Amino acid sequence: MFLFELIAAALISIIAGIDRTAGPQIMLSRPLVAAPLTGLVLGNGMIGLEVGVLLELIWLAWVPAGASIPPDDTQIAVGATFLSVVFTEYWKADPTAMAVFAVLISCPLGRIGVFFDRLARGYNDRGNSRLLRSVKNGVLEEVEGVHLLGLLYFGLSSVLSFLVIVLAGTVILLNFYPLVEKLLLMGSNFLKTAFPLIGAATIIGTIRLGHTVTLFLVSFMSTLLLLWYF
Amino acid sequence: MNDTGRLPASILFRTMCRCLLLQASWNFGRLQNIGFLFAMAPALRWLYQDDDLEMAFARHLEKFNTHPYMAGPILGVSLELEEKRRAGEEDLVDVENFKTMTMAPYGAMGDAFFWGGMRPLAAVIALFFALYGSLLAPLVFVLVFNVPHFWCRLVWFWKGYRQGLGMVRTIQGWGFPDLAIRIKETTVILLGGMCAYLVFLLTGEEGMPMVYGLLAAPLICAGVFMVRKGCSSLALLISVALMVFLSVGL
Repeated sequence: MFLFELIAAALISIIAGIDRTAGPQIMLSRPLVAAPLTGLVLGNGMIGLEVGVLLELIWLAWVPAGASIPPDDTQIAVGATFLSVVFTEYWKADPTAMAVFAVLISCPLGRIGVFFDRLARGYNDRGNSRLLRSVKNGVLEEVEGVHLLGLLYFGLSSVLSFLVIVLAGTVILLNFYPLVEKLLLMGSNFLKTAFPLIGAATIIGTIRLGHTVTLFLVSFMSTLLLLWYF
Repeated sequence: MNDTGRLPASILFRTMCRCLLLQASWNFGRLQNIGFLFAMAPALRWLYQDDDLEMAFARHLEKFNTHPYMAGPILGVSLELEEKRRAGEEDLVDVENFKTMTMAPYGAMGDAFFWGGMRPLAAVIALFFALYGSLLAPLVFVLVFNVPHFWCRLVWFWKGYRQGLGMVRTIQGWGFPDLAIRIKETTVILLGGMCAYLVFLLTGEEGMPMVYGLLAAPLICAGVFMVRKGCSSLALLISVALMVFLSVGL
């Protein structure tokens, strides 16, 4: 069962990972899309939705312009959902507490995604050099092959990041979850709220319109007062 | 090549489909150059032969980098300019200059509009569905985001091909930078509403006095201040988690 779930999640990690840069970028790679999708395939869509909500805003403001490579929140989302689904069942744990813990351990692990992404782009560099030589020599049939090979590199980089998150996450969850379960149960409700709020702060911090904070505060206060009143 | 010298619809369709994979071979050396040539290749093979084809391939292998969604109109206009070059007609600028002149401004416009505007907006709208517990949230995200996305990529590709250099004026007419600012303002307002709803839910679930919810505002502002001072999201996340664990543990 574990192997089937691992293969299914790995396939989603490849599809979402390709969509992140190399594919059409239809946003299958966003945590709020990739995590529920993984959850649904593994039989627990709601836990995926929870992971998606926790992660969606954290790195959303990071613009992937030029050669800048944002942290791989796609593989963090898929990996954290996989870990949450599997270990909620294994430890008979509270799903929210498990989702929070899985996200907390996956986020630092997800930094490895940037390394694999750079590696894929490095392999594409080699393809580019080869193609330049071929075209110079009048060989024009290699374009499609070199280009589509890039999809394979990005797919491999995605699944490698996913596997690192899952393997390291499994070791951590097997050994440490019982030790922190009590703290998680007490704190998960606060963290479930805190994660999107941190994401919101990141987005507001990045949008520099001159009156961003004022707009946010007016909206926040008026909504809160309306919710209390009604 | 047919009598009119215009590219057949099948080639245009293939180019349009191929432009969806523009970044598959993204590389540090020349960025999206192979992707651009990959999209142009069927048209170039149809228009040129032998040495001319070799030269066409070489000129589209030059460095190219723009926002992936804004590559559609650039590709469309490039096809039209290549057709004119094949027919021996001259335009105000040639295809190499057109690409060089447009890729950076279109890239900046695309980054501000799509990554800085539309993506956060679609995410916040979808998050409202997610907070309500609806599994439709991913679908909402994809739909809200992809309507303008495919409009730019596909419709503007066709328009670029039909209008040629006139496409520059069409895009200018859309006022992308102003539109991006309006979308960002809307996103900030929605974010305020979403944060308030989250805080409202928390105070309700934890049985806290409602007035505690107001404390979230200065905390979020402190987060904004730290982000503007260069603090990373991950550092914020871990610090907040440690603080929560410490406070519930004591």
